[in-house]
Amino acid sequence: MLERFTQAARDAVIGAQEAARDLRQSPIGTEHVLLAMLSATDGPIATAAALREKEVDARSFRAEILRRVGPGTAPADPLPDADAEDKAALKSIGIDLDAVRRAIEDTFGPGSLHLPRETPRRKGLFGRFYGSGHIPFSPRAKKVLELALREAIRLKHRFIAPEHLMLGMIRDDGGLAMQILAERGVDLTELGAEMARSLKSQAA
Amino acid sequence: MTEATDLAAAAGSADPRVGLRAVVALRRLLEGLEHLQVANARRKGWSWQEIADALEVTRQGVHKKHANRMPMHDPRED
Repeated sequence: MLERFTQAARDAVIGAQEAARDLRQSPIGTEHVLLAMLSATDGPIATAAALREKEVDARSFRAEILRRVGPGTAPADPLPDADAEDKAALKSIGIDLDAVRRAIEDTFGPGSLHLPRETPRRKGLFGRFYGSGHIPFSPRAKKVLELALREAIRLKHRFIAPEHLMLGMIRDDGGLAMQILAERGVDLTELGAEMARSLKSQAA
Repeated sequence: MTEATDLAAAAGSADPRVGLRAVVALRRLLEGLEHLQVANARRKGWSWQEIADALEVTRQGVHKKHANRMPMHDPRED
C-alpha cells in the first residue's frame, strides 16, 4: 500500500512519527497523522477552507492534543542513540556525519538523509522503508491508511495523496483527530467535498 | 574534536568491534545516499538504465532495489 503513497503522503507518515516522538506519545494515532498534514503549510489539508474557517492549524491542533491527552511518557526514541552510534563509528574512520548531512540537506532539504536500518527485519514496506526502532501505528491509524487506499481505488487513482488520507479519516470517523475536528465545529462533509475537489482540480 | 580523542578513535579501530561497527555505519550512510540520489534522478526523468549506468550496476539490480520504494508520482504535479 505504501508504495502508492506520493511524496507528500509519505511526508505525512514520517511527520506523524516525528509528531508522536515530539509529544512523547505512543502509538501513532490519527491525530499525529493529521498534525503532520497540518504542518505542511502549503499542503491541501493546511489550506482547506473548512479547517481554516474554524482556525484549525498545526499550532492549535497540537495544543488540542496536549490538552486532551497530555504529554506522553513514552521513553525517548531509541533512534537518536543509534544515530549517535553511527556518528561515532563514522568518526573513527574520519567521516563527519554532521558535515555529510549538512551538505545533503543544503540541496535536498532538512531531514532528507535517512540512514536506513534493516534489523530486525520487519514485514512489509513499513519496515523496509522506515526501518525498525520506530513508534508503532495504532490499529485505528493503520485502518485510516487502509481507508485512504480504498478511497484512492474508489476514485480510480493509482496514487495516494494527503487528500486520500484525510478522506480515510473522515470515513473512519472515530479517531482522536476526528473527535477534535468535530468539537471545533468543522463541517466534515464540506471538508470531504473539498478534498474530493482538490483531487479532481488539477488531475488529468 | 581534540587531538586526544582523535588518537583514541584511531587506536580503537584496531578492535574488530569498532572497525566492523564503522562498516555498518558506512553501509547505512551509503544506502541512505543511494536511495536519495536514485529518487532524485527518477524525479528528474532519468531512466532506470541511465541510473544503472551511472551507478555501474545492472538495470535489473537497481530497479529491484529501489523501484517499489519510490514515491508514487502525483499526476497533478505535471
